[in-house]
Amino acid sequence: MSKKAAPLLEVKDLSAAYRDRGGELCVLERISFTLQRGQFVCILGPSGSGKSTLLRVLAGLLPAKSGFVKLNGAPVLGPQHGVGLVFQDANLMPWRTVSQNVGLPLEVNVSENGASESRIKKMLGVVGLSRFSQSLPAELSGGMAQRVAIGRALIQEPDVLLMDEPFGSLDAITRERMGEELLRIWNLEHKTIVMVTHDINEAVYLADRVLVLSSRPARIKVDTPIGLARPRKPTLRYSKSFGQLAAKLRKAIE
Amino acid sequence: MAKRRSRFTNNRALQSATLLVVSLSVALAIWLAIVAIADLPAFILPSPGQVWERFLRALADGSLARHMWVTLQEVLLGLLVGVGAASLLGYALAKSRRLERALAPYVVASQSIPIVAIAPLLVIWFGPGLLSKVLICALIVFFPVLINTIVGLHSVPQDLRDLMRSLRASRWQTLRLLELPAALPVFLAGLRIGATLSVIGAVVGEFVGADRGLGFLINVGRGEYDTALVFVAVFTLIATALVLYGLVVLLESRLLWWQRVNGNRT
Repeated sequence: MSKKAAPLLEVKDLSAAYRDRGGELCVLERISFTLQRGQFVCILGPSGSGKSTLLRVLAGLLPAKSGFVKLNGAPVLGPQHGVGLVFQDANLMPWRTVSQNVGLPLEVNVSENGASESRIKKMLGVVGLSRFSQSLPAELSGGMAQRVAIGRALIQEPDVLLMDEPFGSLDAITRERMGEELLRIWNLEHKTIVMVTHDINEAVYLADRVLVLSSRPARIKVDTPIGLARPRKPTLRYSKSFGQLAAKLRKAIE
Repeated sequence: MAKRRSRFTNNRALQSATLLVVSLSVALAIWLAIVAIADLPAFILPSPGQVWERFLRALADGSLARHMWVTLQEVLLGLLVGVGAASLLGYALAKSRRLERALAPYVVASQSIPIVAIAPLLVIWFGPGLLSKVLICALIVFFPVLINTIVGLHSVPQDLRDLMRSLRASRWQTLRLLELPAALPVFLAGLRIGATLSVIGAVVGEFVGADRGLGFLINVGRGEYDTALVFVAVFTLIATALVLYGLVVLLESRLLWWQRVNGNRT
């Protein structure tokens, strides 16, 4: 194909539709992109543009109408092993403790490599919740709950982490802190991340690359790399190059 | 902190116990007053003392325990059969829209017929023994448990279903790890209603045709103008229903301990 390594994720001419009373509602139209291993990609778009739908198709939760998604060269026809999902609200089970929530995937897919106890312990350390392993979700703040959700998504060591506006329901300050936290975890685990967001600054600050979707039916309007050096510091948000990138994306959305 | 909280709950328990004693005393006082003022014969309204005396007599000759045991058996077996059938069918209906649409009219129609109208049929078909009573109890328990099973299963958040799907959980794993615990609060609320309804079912069945049980005892008391005995049987029924209800509440607090933590925070 090319000199580059085989892509981790390949999306080709992907269309998807929801069926409702009036018939089919086309949500995604001929979307194509490829993703290299280790990349952090943000998908930006106006609300209702089908960002979440795209993520659901990538996760194998929603079938494509036409086109395909390939993960590690194999077509995605249903939920895949190498995919971790993080939802908009933490989506924890309120009757399970923090460590039981993080360990849920190991309970469903009985683990092959290593005892789950030690893996849960390690993961709680990664997301910084070791002290809260026996707490219930109701006792956690929104940011902590979302960190549990990230731990739960990472514990099976997925190839790709799909995040659907994971910090959308958090307040602005917690949100920025969680961004830092996510970058720290990303550095630690070096996963490929696809994150849906409607926050332009968040996208520029976190991503290597930003895809901008048009309003429905969604197409890829802009596909732009974010060349800002890493590691990124919070002061970066006030730099000129950051502002230029954000302005460019803002224009692309409108 | 923990000490303070426990003292607080102790206080609350003491308060509600006091309230119960006060309200019972008031009710008793009103009863006594009516008997004293209206000067009614015992076969119309016995005094609390006469009822107590009759209670001791029924206790001493073993008849109360014998009849109560019969009724309790009917109630518990009926509850078991009704809850079992209702939760199985409820799961099937919650899983299949088509099945729900096909069966819902029958389920709702069955509720428009009062149980007293069906009870004679069941006694004719299954005899005056235990079986017909168990079936009547099961029938009356069935509906609330069925509805609550369906509502409970429908209340499982779609995002958590998606999570289980993305983990490629089997149907059994989804049931065990997600649906059962998520539907449990609503299901247990249905069980709470079912437990008290089952007592009613047993009495209805015994009224229609039986030679034992608390309902039968009420019939005997009425026939012999032994109104004090009727009171004894009624109070025993109330006590049975209360104990059953209390057991379900206890079960709830055991199984739903995580909800209390939520409650403390909000």
